Amino acid sequence: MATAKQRLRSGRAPYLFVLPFIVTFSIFGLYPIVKSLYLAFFVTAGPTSKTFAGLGNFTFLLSDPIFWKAARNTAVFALASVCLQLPLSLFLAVLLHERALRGRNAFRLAIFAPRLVGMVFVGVLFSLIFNARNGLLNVALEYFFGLPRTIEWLNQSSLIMPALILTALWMYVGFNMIYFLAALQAVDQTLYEAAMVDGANAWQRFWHVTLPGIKPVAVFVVVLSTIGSFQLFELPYIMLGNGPGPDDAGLTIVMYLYQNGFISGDLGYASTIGWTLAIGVLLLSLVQMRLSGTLKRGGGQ
Amino acid sequence: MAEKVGKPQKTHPGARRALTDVFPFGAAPLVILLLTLAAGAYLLFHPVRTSTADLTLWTFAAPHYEAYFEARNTFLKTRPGRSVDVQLVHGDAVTSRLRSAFWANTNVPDMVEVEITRAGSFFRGPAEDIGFVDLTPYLEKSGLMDSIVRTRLTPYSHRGRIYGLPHDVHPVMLAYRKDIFDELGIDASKLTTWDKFIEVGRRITRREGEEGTDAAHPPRYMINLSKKQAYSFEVLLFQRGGDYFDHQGRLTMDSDLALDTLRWYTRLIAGPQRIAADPDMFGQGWVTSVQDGYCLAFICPDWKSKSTELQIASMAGKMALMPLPAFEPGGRRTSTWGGTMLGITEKCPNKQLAWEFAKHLYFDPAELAERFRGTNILPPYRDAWENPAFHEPRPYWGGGSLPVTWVRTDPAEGHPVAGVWKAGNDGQRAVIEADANGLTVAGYHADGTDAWSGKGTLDAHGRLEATVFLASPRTDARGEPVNPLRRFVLKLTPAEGDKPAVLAGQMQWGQQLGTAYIGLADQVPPQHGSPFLEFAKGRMSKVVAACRTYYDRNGENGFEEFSRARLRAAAQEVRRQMQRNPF
Repeated sequence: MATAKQRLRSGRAPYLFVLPFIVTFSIFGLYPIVKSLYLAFFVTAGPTSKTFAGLGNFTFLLSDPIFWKAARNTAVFALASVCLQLPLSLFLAVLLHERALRGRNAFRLAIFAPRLVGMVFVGVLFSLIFNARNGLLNVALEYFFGLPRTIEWLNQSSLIMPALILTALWMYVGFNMIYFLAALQAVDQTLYEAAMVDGANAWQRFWHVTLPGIKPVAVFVVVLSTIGSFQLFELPYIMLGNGPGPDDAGLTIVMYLYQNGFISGDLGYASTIGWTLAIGVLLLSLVQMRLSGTLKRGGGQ
Repeated sequence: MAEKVGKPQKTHPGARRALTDVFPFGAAPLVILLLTLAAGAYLLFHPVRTSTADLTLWTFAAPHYEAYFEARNTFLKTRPGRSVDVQLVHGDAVTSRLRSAFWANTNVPDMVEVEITRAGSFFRGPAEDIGFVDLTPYLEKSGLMDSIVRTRLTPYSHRGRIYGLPHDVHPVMLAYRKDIFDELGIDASKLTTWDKFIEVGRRITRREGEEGTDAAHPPRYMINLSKKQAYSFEVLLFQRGGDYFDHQGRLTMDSDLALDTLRWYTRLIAGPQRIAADPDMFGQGWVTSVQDGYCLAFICPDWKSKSTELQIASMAGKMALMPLPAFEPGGRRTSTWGGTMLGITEKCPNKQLAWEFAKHLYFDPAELAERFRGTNILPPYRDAWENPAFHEPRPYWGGGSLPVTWVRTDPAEGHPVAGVWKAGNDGQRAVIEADANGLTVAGYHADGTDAWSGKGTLDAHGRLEATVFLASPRTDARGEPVNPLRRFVLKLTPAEGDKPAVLAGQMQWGQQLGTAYIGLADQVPPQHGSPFLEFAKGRMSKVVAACRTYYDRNGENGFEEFSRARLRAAAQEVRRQMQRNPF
């Protein structure tokens, strides 16, 4: 009996278990990926018409000012996400990790809660908050600082990106905080004790014990946030009224992809944009992991 | 691992062991596996319900959906055994789902309503690959061509073929706060040109941060115009005869006329002399801007007049409509905004039935009359406009309503409502006479002089509707009659025993909204469709926003140069896209 069990465990059964995934992934994941790579070399229009364009789509993309504008916007958003969101998340995590803090579970829930709301709802909510005349933000700015209610957050090209970043901050800070909290809890307590015996102060303990301890998770969060930021679509789409906003200030790469593929009906060019994005994000993630040394240790933990 | 699980082992040790021998991965994976199998089996025996109707129609507008539901029932009454499925699909989803359906050649609806800006994107590619049926022969055979407002076929025509029936005319007027206009002594009928309108606007506008604007005198603008998108700009461009594309699909968005209009428009929305604000044209921003009197006027196509009635109900009686001021004396007093087409797809197996349903929806006068009351949307079918429904006074627009109760004092033989009625507390009488043409309704003051008279109808449900004119209407300061038209909508309670018959309901007055829009229908400018229209509109929005920002910062200094350069650059981007298209 035991040998039969053994045989099953090491035999075909595991493959049987992953089979549903393999099948669905092949149909809904792999096939579209291959097909989109194929389409990226065609100019398409209408139901069945396509003409081979070779690298035409890619050369057009390289000289397409709208694409570059979208890429710039997305990069700015990603950079802000990583540089603002993550330190803030870590700060909150350290704060809420403190056992002495009263009601810390309530705080954790409150800070995490925005993530439970769908992106589209957040978009609708914040388009009201950023409304120039009656929005909560401008009303508050008038009440506390006497500013006139004329700051057009979503109408002025220079203010759109800050508005989007603020919204994303509200939504994701708590989510990333949870990752950091989990990491903090996994740091070996004896290391702190050893450091204290060696006479390390609070800052030194954070710098030399906590940070190295949570590094694998931090790298994971950075890579994930970067990838997530590059996929930005719903938030600006909803907040700016189904469009990119004035001067394309809220145009992201995925929104441009959507416009080309599903509004103008050029799936070929949309595929080109998609593949360029995928390659870009892949390279960026590799660079991030290389810089943080995760790759050398065999793909992180 | 499985052996560690407590209770079941105690109760059925033998059964558990047998189970783990067959399935050695433990209890939890087994439960998951069973759930998966159960769910799979359920799905297998409950497949997604696919429509088995003879016709499937997609529409993106909720008011259309509701109206078509009713229309479908009347259509099917004369066609037993047939079935029609009307589905409401979100506007963006219509475009993307239809595109995917055409691509995959599966789940293609038989009929679809497509929004005007998006329509052109379906006419790309070789003509034989276009997913819509060319309706030209159908239209020619039916003889409807001469009754349709021809300019409305333009956006749905491509390379000489008509792919969509126009749903609407969408003439544009200005809606304004009549109560505030009256208070400020502004006579809307004198604002016949934009120059006059702007002159008044400069006088009454109070900008934020300006001297004289404070808590007691909050900011106020003459008109609501978009500063970030092109939708109000293009309405005014169309009014002047401009467009994004010409009839051959060539880009004209950077014509001299467009450039001139762009500069003129920028001076309305930007700089210290601006008379327009942008609190949004939809949603909360728009509603409060009308309620607070922040913007006194806004561009109001026929469809927008209904959203105004529904979403800003508190302003009933305080709003009114006026034609757009003209760019030059005697010039065009309207424009157009939006539109919808109904197309039949090539994939549809019952094209003749689809065509008949399309005709029923779009060209049946009785259907159109009822729908007009619900949507305010003027159909492009002239023959329908004669129906009284298109000429009723609307209380929302500068009018009001009063409750009315009539008690019959002297019944005439053989007719449920004919006779003499006691009409009010002040001794008024109403006399209703019936003949082959319907009802004649007349009102008399207590002293016997004429009060009003007109025509009416009584339907099978005891609903009396009558439109009457006042014999001596009130006149305004200029001696013009004010609201001479009244409409009675009354419900009959027949006589029973010694109780006399009673007609109770409302008397309404107000602007004749339908008549006003119909009066402008022939002036509605054409809009030319193109696969690149949506893209061009996006680029134009960018130009409008950029010019506004520049003008706010620099005023006239270098503005002529800047506006020309920006418009050219935007047009260049569109041309680049168009040149890529090999079809």
